[in-house]
Amino acid sequence: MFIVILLLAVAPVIVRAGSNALFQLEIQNSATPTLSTPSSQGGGSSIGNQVNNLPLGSYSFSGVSFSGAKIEIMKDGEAYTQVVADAGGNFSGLISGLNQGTYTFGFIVYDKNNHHSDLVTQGISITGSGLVTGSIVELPPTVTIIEDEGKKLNLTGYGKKDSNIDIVISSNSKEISKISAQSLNDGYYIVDIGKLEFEEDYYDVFVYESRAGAVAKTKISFSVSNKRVILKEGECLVRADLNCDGRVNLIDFSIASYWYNRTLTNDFLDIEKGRLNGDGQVNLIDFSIMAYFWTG
Amino acid sequence: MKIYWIIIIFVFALYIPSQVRAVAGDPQLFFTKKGTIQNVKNGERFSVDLVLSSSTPINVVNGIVDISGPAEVEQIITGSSIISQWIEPVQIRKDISTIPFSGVVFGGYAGDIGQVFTLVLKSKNPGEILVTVKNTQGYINDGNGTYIALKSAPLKINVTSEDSHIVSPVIQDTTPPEEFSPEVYRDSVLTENKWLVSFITQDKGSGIERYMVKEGSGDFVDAASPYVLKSDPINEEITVRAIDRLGNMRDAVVTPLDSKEQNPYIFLLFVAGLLLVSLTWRNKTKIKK
Repeated sequence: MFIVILLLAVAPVIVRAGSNALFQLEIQNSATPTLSTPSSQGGGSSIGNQVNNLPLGSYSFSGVSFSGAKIEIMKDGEAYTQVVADAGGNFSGLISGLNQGTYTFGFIVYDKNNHHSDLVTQGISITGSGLVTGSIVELPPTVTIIEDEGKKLNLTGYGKKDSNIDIVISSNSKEISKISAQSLNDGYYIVDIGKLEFEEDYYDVFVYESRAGAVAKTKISFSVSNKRVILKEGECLVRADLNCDGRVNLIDFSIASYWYNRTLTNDFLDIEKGRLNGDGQVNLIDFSIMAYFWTG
Repeated sequence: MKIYWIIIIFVFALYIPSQVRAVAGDPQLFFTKKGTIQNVKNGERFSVDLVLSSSTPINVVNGIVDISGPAEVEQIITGSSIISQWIEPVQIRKDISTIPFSGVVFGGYAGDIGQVFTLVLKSKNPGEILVTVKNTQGYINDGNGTYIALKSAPLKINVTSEDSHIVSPVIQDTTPPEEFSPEVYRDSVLTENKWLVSFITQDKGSGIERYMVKEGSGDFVDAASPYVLKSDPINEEITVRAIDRLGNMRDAVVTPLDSKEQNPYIFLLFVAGLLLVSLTWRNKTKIKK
């Protein structure tokens, strides 16, 4: 009898655990024009993503990062596919089956420690069945800040191999220091940016990498408060990551949209203060911050 | 005399470059009409594009479109827009004559001809049409949400007294919106742990006009992302329908893992039931003995 009671008691707990599980997605196509049917031109039928008689186009991309870099590619702001850079740091790919129209493809590079670069975008226009070849994507370095035994701050990440890396630290849009470094053969770099020198304030660190006349940059921020360094890196501390899942994506955008022009609750005020611009409301400034830190 | 000329040249040199910088560097949000002729006939359907031009990467644009003169808005096309997601969707509203809009460009846009949207207009009488975008705001893609002013100037279009015989629509689109993947989740801060569904897709033809959501066997209702679900998606299938501006539709169905997730429960209930029957039978047997 005890076993029966135990099983009945445990069962609902298992169900609750299951309720937070991921959901399966199934796409159905009900692509039937019903309203305001266009005139005689065009027409055709819809099967999957192949619609009308309009030819589908392709987009060829290529770029440079570091050896073994994992590059996430976004199509119009949504995660689309991944590629891995070869030993020379080069990557390329082809996306076909694109309907005619304007697209924005985004590129973010992740290193083996899961630290990432800023988003780089490339806009293209598909006008026919041809191949659109994008210009070479120069991906910026990945970056993170590590506090070394409470004594100093190390800025570290991966860039292109043997490249010059310039680090600019600014506060309130004023440059306060500039440091140059060189990445190793595998792209790894580490720079001591000090610690004792920083007064209580909010700091932006820009990591620039130049190659063949193109400059790519990644930004990271930290603040000093009560003699403590607060790093804006890591889960729940990533800027604009409102639901604290380590990504800035559709869910975060939806949450911000929900609060747009609404009075914030105390709980969300804390989130707005910590992860957006902290003015106690969700407005266009917050959406701008979110668009910058977007990871898809 | 020499000093006089030096002063003139110096003042000229200071003045001209600042003017050039103002024209070349300042971001602009403005309407433009295809073609070089700014005249249309009476009753003619024509289109004007709202375009962003900026050398500084901009990731949020905002404004209000105001149209004065003998014209009416017939259609808004967002299919070729640089906007990744609309904060305030651009749409024709019956109650107001202006069209407010705001949108986000993930990663920012820097270029000369970033199309924000297209208005399809129809002239009603001879006269002058002014298409203006007011209250323009832009934000730089710098991670701090830095404001930047967007310059704008009205677009003037003259409507001649000659009647138009052009009746065909400006845009044709029979392509449904692109496939998409709604996300179902719970958020304790947002909605006291209620279930929400978030969704976004693109339509490269006329652009997305609206979304609808259906819970289980219920009816489709108009919805905006995020949509707070009334039912428990553990048991109910959630369908999100994206509809473009010419009525083409795409459905995405979120099916919960209810069968897999509830299997342990069903299995445990089954085992518990078997044990209960077994124990009851055993007790009855003992009592009989």
